[in-house]
Amino acid sequence: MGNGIHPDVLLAARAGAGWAFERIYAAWAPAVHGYLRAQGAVDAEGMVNDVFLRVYRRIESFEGDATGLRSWVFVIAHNLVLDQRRYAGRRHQEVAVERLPDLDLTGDVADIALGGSRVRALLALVSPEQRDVLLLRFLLDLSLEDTAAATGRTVTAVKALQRRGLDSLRRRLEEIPSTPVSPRPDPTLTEA
Amino acid sequence: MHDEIDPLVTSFVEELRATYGDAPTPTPSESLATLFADGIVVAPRARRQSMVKHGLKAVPGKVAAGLVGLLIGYTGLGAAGALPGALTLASDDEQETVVTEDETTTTTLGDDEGGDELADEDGGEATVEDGDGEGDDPAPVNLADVPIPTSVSEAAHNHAFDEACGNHGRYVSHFARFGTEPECATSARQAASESDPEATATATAESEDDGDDNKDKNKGKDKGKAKKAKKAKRH
Repeated sequence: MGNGIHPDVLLAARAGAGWAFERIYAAWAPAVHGYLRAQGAVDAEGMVNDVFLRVYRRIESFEGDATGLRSWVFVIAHNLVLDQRRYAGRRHQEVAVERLPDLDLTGDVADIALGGSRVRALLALVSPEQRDVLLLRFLLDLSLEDTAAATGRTVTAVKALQRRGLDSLRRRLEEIPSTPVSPRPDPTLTEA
Repeated sequence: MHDEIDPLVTSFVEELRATYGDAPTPTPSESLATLFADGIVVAPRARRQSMVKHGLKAVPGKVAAGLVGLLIGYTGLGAAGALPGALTLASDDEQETVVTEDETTTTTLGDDEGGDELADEDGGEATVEDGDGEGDDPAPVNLADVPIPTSVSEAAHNHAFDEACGNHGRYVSHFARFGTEPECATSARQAASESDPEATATATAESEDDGDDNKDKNKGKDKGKAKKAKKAKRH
């Protein structure tokens, strides 16, 4: 996942230029959207808008380069996930973040491994804390340090969560027979 | 970065990225769309104030208290006459400040190519050459003299045209996009150069020169008339 933001664009964004905000949105909104969907957010699109509104409100005070800004955007996205998770935990009612499907873990894991939901099903088999680390590290390519800052943990703790999460996945993957990844729909065909 | 994952997990990571790594760009909300169109007004003063506040916050409380105590003690001793040099030092500081402003003003005038040319051509026009009189009071920034930025970084630090362009962001965003100043800045520069008192003095001087030339021409005409009149008398 590239950076894709020129330093001049960042400078213009910090000065309040609307066109620079749009460039930043176009560069990183897809990644934020994917992360929120992987976390099981129901209204992922709405949450993407919330993330970037937060970013633009605070961008004037941001200090760093474009790479740092990218990490900062993803940290804000993760914080939004945590906020929704806490909200769901307190209310125990209709939740903004969809609970990952209740899986019958006593049954054959292969039964739930179907097409694109295979990834979701596997992610459901790890704890939320391990899932956060795995997604921040392997989906968004955040460094150990940035992941630690985002999750409020030490680098050592992040490494431990990552190792335990990967061990869980490895054990489950060894049980599941390999199934081909269903191809993503061609957007041009969808538009036609 | 991900050396610890084995081939089995690697395939999962690839599947993860294939599923979620390239999600479609969501349609911006109305708030975001408005933000893209209008941007945000960034007040330079507020930023400076926040920087000052930030700087003050960074100073540990004890150090700040110590500095305040020192200042109070110094001022008290000075008032009591224990430090006879204090007043002198203070006045030196003020003079240094004045000198700095003078230097700045002088530098600004010196950078004005038009001013230099006028000094050469007019040979001692007081309003152009003598910068001492203008250094006594802090001179307002002449927009015509503000150097045109050569990079986006310079444009971001240039607040001279914030008022002319409505807000700082508009100036910086145009420069970052097109590499040139926006029309609001160009117009402000032009207006400033047209209302430049030096330019006015030059125009006045030139018109006076023209008037002198005309006077010389009229003198010539008068002489010619006088000669004709004398000839007429002879005849």
